[in-house]
Parts: sequence; C-alpha cells; structure tokens
Amino acid sequence: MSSIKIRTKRLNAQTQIRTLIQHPMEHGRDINEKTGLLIPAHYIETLTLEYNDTVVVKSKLGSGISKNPYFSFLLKGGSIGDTVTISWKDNLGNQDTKTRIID
Amino acid sequence: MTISRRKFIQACSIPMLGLLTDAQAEWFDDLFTKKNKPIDYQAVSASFNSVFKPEEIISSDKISLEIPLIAEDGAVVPVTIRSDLESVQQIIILVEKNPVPIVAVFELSPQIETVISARIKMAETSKVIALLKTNTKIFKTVQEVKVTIGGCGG
Repeated sequence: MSSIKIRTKRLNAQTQIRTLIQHPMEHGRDINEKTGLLIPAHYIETLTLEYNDTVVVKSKLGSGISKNPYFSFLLKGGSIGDTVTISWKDNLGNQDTKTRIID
Repeated sequence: MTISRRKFIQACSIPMLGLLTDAQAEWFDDLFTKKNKPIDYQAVSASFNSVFKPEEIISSDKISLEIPLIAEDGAVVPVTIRSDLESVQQIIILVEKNPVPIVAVFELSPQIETVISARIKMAETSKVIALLKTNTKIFKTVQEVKVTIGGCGG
C-alpha cells in the first residue's frame, strides 16, 4: 500500500490539495526504551508536488516535521481530470510517489 | 552511501536555495547538518543576523502565521502560513529553539497560492518564524508558541 494519501477539493477557481504521508520522521535523538539505543534518524528530506507533470512545489524538509506528516497546498485553477502527483524521498534513500486525478 | 552527507546536502540545496545568497544557503546547510550537536541559540541568532541583514528582512503584517499560542503537544503543532504578498517564491519555517531550527523550505511556482499548512515538532516554548522570499525582498513574521508537555494547558 502506498504511504501517501492525497485528497483534492475544488473550491472557487482553486484546488486544495491535502496529503498525509506515513513516515516515522525520526530525528535521531530519541532512545528506544527497550534496547536503550538511539533510534537512527529517518526523515523525509524532499517532497515534490507536480500538477499535470509540472513541478509546482519543491520542498526540503528537516526532522522538525511531525511524524506522519500532513501538508496542504492551494493550487490556482485545476479542473476535473487534471493529475496531481506527490513524491517524497527520505534520508535512507526510500521513496514513494502517488498520483491522483482531481475529481 | 558513496557520497558524503555534506556533499549531498550541498548538491540538493544549491539549486533549491538558489534564490538565496551563498552565505544564506550555507547557513541553512549548516543548520540542517547540525543534527546531533548541541546548539548555542545565541550563536544561531547571531549567525542568522549576520547572513540575513536585519534591514533586508521586513517584518510584514501581510503574512498570517496561524499557529496555536499554546501547544499542548510539542510533537504535533499545526501551522498554516498564508499571505497576500505577490510573487512569493520561497516559504521557510524556522523554530528558534529546536535542535534543528530549520523545519522546512518550500519553493513555490506561480501556479500555487501562498497558503501552506504543515504539522511541525517543537522541542520547547519558542518563537516560530516564517520567512517569505519574493523576487526582491524577504518578509518575516514571528509568533511565540508556548509548549506545555505536561498537558495542563497552563
């Protein structure tokens, strides 16, 4: 299952894009209570939002973003059938991407 | 990994922070890499002032930083930044007293309205700063947020 959920909502001449990503966003300073060891840092470094295959938001994130990050963006325009793609990449090289058609 | 972390960060931040001057980009790099080292907050704010000349940053009331004044859980603090300013190219969120003060840098195309929401972590009561970079100027707005981990709301 994809780690990304995308919801789109058409407003007056705008489209709201909300996304929820499943990710631990560990900052590398917490200690695992069972083992007493540091939990290694594991967080999303880049997040990209594409609208009809054009990059509209490029973001660079740090570990200061909460676990299971939520973002919302507001797009100018947007009509039924347009595509919205969100992709992320974390510091361990994992990545995921998901496309949603605006309805 | 065959490339060093510093090289990697330089490689990804140079195009992304291309709108900033070299000194400013380097400052962000430094903060992103200062992961496990204790941070001297005064030094951070002094270095911040040295790369962002205070006269270049305009405190603006045209930016609204919507964030709870009292956050009961510092692990999840919802924040929304919206602005009427024209041609905003970058939005930068900073939490002054976090171990890694820089939280996120968003680079926006003209297709996107200047409205962004996210959920951030806050280590302790601190100022949250939103910087908006347009093609000519940097605007800033600051909001103090109180973090009560005990949950008594005081």
